[in-house]
Amino acid sequence: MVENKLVLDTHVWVSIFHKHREEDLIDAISFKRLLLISCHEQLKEFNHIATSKEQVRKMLSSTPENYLQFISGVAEIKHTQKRFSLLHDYKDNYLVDLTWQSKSVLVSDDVGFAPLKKLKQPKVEVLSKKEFYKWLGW
Amino acid sequence: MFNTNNPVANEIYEVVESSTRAEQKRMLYLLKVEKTRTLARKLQKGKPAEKFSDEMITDIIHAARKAYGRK
Repeated sequence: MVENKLVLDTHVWVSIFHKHREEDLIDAISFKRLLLISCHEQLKEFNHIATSKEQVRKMLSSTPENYLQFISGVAEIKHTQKRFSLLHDYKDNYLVDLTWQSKSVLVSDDVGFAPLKKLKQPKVEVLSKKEFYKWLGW
Repeated sequence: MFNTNNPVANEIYEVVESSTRAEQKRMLYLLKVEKTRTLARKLQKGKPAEKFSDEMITDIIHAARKAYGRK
C-alpha cells in the first residue's frame, strides 16, 4: 500500500484556503492516496502570521482558528525531533526536519529550499506548488 | 472475534479485524479527514477581502515567515 506523504509549506496552505480548495483537498486525499503531514511548529507559525499580518488576513475569509482546525483535521500532526541546520534561514529548517523524519515530499515554492536539491543527505524531495496542483488535476 | 447486537458495527469490526495494520491506520486517517468536510464547506462559503495571485501569496507569506522570530 503506497501513500503519497506530503508536507505543505505554509504558503501552500494559504493558497489552498484563498482559492477555496478545501473540499477538493479532502477528495484528493482519497483519490491520490495522500497523507498530509504537519507539526505544531507550523500550526503556531500559521496562527502567528494569520493573526498579525494584515495582508494575510485579507487573503483568508475565516478565522485562523478554523483554518488551524482544518489543518489538524486533514493532516497528521507530528513532533519534529532532530534539527538539521542546512538552510540559511534557520526558521525554515523545521520543514526540512519534518519532511525528512516523515519520509515525505515537501511542497514549496520558497527558493530557500533550492539547496536541498543538491544534497545527498538528508535527501529531501521538493515539489513546486505548480507541479503539485498539476498532479492533483487542479 | 467481536460480536454485538448491531449488525453494522459487527461488519465494521469484521473489516477492521481482517485488515492489515497499515490499512487500519489509513482508514482511521480517512475517517478523521472526512469529519473535516463540514468545516471545509463552511470555509468555502466566505469570500476573502482581496484577491491575490499565487506568486503574491508566496511572496507575502515568505516575508511574513521571515519576520516571525523563533521563540
